[in-house]
Amino acid sequence: MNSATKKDDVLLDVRHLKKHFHVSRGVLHAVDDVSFTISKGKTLGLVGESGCGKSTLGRVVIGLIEATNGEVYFRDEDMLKFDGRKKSEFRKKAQIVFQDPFSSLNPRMSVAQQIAEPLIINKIFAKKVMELMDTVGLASRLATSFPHELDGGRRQRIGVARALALDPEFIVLDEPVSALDVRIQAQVLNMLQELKNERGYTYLFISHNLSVVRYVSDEVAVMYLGQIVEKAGNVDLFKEPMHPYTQALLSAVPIASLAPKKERILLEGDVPSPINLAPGCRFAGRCAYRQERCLAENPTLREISSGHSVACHFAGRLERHA
Amino acid sequence: MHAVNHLNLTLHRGKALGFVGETGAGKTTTALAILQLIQTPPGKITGGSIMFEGHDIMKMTEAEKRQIRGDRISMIFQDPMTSLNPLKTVEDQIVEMIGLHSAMKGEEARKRALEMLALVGIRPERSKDYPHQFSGGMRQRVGIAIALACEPSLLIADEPTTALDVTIQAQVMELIKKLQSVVNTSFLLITHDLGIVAEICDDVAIMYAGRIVEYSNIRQLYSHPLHPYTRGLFDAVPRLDTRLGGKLSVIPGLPPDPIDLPKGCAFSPRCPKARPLCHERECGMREYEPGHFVNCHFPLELGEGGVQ
Repeated sequence: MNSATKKDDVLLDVRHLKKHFHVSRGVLHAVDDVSFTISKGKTLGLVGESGCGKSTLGRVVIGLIEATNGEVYFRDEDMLKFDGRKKSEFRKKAQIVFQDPFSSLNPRMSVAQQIAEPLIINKIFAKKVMELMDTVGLASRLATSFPHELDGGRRQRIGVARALALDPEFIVLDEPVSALDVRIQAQVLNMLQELKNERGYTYLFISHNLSVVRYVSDEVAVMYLGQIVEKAGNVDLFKEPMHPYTQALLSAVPIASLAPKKERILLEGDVPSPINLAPGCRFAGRCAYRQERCLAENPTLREISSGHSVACHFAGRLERHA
Repeated sequence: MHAVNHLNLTLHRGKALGFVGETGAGKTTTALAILQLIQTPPGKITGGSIMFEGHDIMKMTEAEKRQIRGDRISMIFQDPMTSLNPLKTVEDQIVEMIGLHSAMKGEEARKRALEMLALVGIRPERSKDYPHQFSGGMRQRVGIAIALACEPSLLIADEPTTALDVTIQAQVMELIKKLQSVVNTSFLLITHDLGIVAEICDDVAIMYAGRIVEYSNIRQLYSHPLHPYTRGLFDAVPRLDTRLGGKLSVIPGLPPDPIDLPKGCAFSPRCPKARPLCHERECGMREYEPGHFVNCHFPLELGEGGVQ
């Protein structure tokens, strides 16, 4: 977070959040000591590859999965300590949109029923459905249609309408356009941006697609094996990535242009298993800059320049090892 | 329903052609037609010829086609989990392929299978593992090893990296590029990603509603796309190299239903530049400049559609 940001602008403040799963082979560190804040009306983009823990993180911060440890301040109160009425109040304020609009909708409910469901559960008069359909650009004639009759973009609009139904402040968008064709992807991204600008929603935008994250985010956090390895303002992160993983990730994105490209950094091997991790830096096994220290000690996220934090012992003074 | 219509393409030995379009444009159907894998009924190739190394595949007998498939022409599929056999070790799957298409048997075929696995970066101690024991990227590398085992002269890849993470995608792309130059295979890449095409293809064909609407080498097409649809494809996707703060442009409307194609140019109902002629009749492919073909009455002016 930019140090100049006033504290009262912060909507979500996540501190040392951990989510561990006990599996037969040991402990799976899905989210491991993650801290970040999101200011009101801003979008934090969370990028990382499959299995890095980004979706688990998204579900923990809105209370869909219980945390193992840590604090999640929504305004000034720790959401993880909420129960009863407080918890249901919070759940109205914090919503989520899932990746696959087909499996996250009920195939036996019409469009209007899907959107009305959160309103009915919370005893809010159901005529708001039409307003919501209008907000997300679904024609009213589609109210009685079923999910299988609609294309992916329209299905995802239902998912967004459901999330907006209870006037939330904070929305987790978990790969909201990854299952969509490029043409529809552009429509949904434009709609999400317009909603944010008009209504001041705060987003946590989870995606593996760096170009999409760059397009929507104010700030970006890069996740690797359960931890945030780099966090910076949108412009900074894409212009001057400092963590070796972020650098490799950015260089791997194919660009639809014939202009000369930066040298591609090819990572060897796959992301290791998050179960029973070795003590050192989690990226060390694939890092071209690795030193003795990296194998012994896991670096913490530290601010290298204003608003730009990196979890790497040698950030800013990387020298290729081999 | 006309899935693919009046399609003309040439692919030279050792070159790579990118086949780009949205879901439902007919990209995969075209690839399956080349391999003669269209199920009849309901599918039927109603006309045309597919010349491969001087012979028309359409006129071949079933036995001749089987001989070509997997040997001279092979395919990599989008989802490596569903295209591999879950009950066989990866080594056995490659050995099977070699056994079907070459005289190699037993130990010799097994040795060849291990060579192929080494070529795609899979260590010999993993050769007795089953597909589910591999990560997505490794499975796709197994798929590539199988496809290249018989050194085909044409390799068709249908969205080979769409299911993969970006760093793994980069590994697979590098591998395909390297192998293509080693084996001198011609390569037909089906994708929706113009970025991947820019990296590994020599030529590119843009497909819309079962037709090719633009076809050229990548230098000409990327520096000045001629078809309004091609331009739309470039503008609809957020990119790492464009200015921030802009809005993505959206091509209005939906692609036409292939059962009920509009009169005239299939893109005309959505085209920002359509004039009355476009709704009357389709232009057909014409050569706008040497080697740059476009199916449009009013192609974009040079400079009008430039991509930085």
